[in-house]
Amino acid sequence: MNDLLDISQHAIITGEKLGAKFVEARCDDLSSREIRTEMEEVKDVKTMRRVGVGVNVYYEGASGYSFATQLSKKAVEEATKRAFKIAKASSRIARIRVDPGQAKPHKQKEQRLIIKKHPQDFPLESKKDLALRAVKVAKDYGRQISSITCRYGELFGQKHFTNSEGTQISWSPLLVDLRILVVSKMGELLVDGHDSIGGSCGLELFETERHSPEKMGENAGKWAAEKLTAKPAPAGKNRALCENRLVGVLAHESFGHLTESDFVVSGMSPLAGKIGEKLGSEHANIIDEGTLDASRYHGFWLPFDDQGTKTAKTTLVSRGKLVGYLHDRTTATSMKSDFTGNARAVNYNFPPIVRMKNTYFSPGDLSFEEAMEQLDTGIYAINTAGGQANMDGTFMFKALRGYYVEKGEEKYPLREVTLTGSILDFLKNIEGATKELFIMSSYFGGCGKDEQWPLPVGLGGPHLLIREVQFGGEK
Amino acid sequence: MMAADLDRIADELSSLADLGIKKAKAKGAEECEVYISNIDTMSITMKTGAVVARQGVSLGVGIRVVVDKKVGFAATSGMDEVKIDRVAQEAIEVARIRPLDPKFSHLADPIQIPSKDGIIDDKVLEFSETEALKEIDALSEEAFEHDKRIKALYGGVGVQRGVFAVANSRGVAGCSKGAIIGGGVYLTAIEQGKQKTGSESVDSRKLVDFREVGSKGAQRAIRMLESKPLRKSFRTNVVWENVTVSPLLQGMLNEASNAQNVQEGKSFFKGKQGEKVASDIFTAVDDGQLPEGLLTFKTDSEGIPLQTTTIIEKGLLKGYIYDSYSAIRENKRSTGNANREWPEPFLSTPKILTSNLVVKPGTSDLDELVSEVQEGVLVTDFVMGAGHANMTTGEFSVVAPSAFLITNGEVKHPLEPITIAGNFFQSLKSITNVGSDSKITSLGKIPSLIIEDLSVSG
Repeated sequence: MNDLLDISQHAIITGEKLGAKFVEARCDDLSSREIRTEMEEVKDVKTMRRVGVGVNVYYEGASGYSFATQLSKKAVEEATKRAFKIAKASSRIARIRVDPGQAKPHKQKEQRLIIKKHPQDFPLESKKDLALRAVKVAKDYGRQISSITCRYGELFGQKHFTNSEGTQISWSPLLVDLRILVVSKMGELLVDGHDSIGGSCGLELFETERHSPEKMGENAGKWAAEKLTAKPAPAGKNRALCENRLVGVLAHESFGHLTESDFVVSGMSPLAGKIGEKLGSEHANIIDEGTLDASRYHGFWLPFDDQGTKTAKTTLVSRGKLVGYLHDRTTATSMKSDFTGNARAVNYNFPPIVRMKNTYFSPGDLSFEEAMEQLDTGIYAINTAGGQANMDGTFMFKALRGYYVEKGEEKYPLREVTLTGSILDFLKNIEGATKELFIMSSYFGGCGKDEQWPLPVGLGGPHLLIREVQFGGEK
Repeated sequence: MMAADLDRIADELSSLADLGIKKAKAKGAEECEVYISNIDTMSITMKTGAVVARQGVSLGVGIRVVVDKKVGFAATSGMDEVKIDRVAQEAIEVARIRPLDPKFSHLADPIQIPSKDGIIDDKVLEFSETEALKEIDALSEEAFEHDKRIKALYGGVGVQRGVFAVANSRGVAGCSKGAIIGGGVYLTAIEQGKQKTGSESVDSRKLVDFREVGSKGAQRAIRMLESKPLRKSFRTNVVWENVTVSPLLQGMLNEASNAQNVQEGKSFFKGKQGEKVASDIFTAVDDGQLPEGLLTFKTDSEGIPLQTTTIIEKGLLKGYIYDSYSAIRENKRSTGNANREWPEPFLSTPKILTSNLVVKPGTSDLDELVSEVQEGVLVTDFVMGAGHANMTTGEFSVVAPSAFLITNGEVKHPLEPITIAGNFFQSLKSITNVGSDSKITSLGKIPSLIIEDLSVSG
């Protein structure tokens, strides 16, 4: 522990001696474990550990980054020299100058989340059982099952941070994730049912009624079976009720990235220069937050970012109006904004860049029944199999499943539910939000930007009622 | 870095791999495999004049062991003797909790087939951060000077140079080297509040000039400013520019020709060997020995020589791709398709993946392909959603932000984003022509092509 602090300090001293204006050093010691089962067979068990130190050096308006996998003074000194050399070379061509600005130093030792059952204290055997319990129930509820894949993943360890201002922080990230995929087959038709949960939680998460392996197995089995008789979503514009996780991916993927201030400073984001402008209806409220109430939500717990900034609760959209962007120290300094704590690196191989924390739409005041009634006739689109967004605001997302709704009642299940459109139109068309809020994070998958993937983030929201959503598919 | 440095690292990794095998055996492993990688990355990212630069070496060890016929895996960053010792111990502990896998019999046996690493260009090995910065600066200048309406740039230039060694207790000992350079740009053009994007990239084993990437990307963004909505849904012909169809083609063919998927009943190609699965003019080969291919190595990540495997020949399904696990199960020989995920391959166990997927080119360039189409659309730059297609059934739905309307063999005008949907495996049979413009990417070497009868709307 003190060794790591010494090593980080050595990077700061070395960098400053070379003539750097500001130096940041961080040591990561992160372990992860994964289990994959196919039907009742354990197919893959892995344990991995990543230990390394990264050094970010600022020199005359540019920054350079390097890293080492040996935790020795010699290795960190060499890394600092490489970072300095590359920063110095970059400073000659950097037209947008980066300045980390100033902050008060702060010290925080070994901050950790209070949980009951830390995955570190339980053998892999018990986690294998979680997966197998889910599989067992999925078999009972599924029909014409062709395969069942279950995955468990966990991440934990320590992160240390030091900079030229004298800030010294250490904290313990944590993430657990359980997911199950059931594939059913009828003739040539293959359909799937999927359930998952993940977040910065102890293993007690899987003891809750909603997220027990048995409940998840039941859901995945049932949903796959249901899809055997499902129809494709009607192509074209429809009214839609979007479920929490789908809403979360819209908040993150199609909107959140546009508020990342490196894209704003560079002029790529269509939201550049639009603070104060009305972008959406009064039901459009979007937040990015670092530390959620862990007893209620399952986001990714992030008390500090990778520049040692305490994470803020940042309002991006309030009653349809754009009110904020996400910053690292350099963009906040150049735009004269408060630090928001959004500088994050996926691991020690990479420098921190502007990333999201836990991004979600705020809840409204409708009950689920009221939302269905207001939907009247349209599509209830649930969960997400991912998607992609372009910087101009256009997006393409796949919902995992859905229902065709007539007069407020679910008529028949849907498969291949693809939503396309522009987030800017989408925000204008939000007619209401339900009052519950659901947020989750995941170990498998995560956010990708530049070369850095997969970064754990949280996302979620309420159910959103939206008019004129474009559904894709074959005509 | 010089060629001699790569050789020195190769020797060091190979002897560490041997040491790892001895240690794991001494701890009670019946069989074991040690994989060690050392990858030096230098990358410069630029966002309209703001520069983020990094350089460093990612090192690590991954060990697979067999204990009582059960397989365990553990990995760590770094690669000293102490770490190798600890990882070998962890792998053994993991193996103990695994139940017996009746489909596993043993790790890979050595296969004697001559094989080579891809082209290694000294100029790429020696490429410095100063040169990289000069290239990205020139690329950026070229883009902004091309047209005043280019308002933002997101781009980068990077080099990866590395070595990996893999050895196992059954006598496999492989070591591969590589050095690749790449650069790309994503540009934003703005005119009267309308915002459009254009992208261009080059990846190569030989040093290239990136200046053109800037001007080409700019042209691509500017031409979209004239876009008009399609305002209809119809079934029509789609001309796919090489880079737009590559992810869909590689994603689908990789899943369908993956021997493990075939064995587990998850592949569309199961039981179809020798049958017609594509149009007569379509031939696709997994070429792990293409000298200029970015994924060419002497051995795969299990130490098996990379080879050339025909997947589809003139429309007929010829073969599947294998790693050792799936090959041994069928008493066959691995095709050298065991891959571990970059840029930290040591962290993962091998999975089947195509090496360079090479689609046999035709004789027409992209303009000629367009001229053959009476009515349809041309899709360029990239499409969104190819990675989210259903790889088992072949259903896909993608959004193309850069598309053009074709009427009577001519590009009429650019379109606002359109959606293209269909079934990939049906589409394979509806390929009416293949272009001559094969492009090297991290997926392989794939040309433009025409697919008829897809659902297009916008």
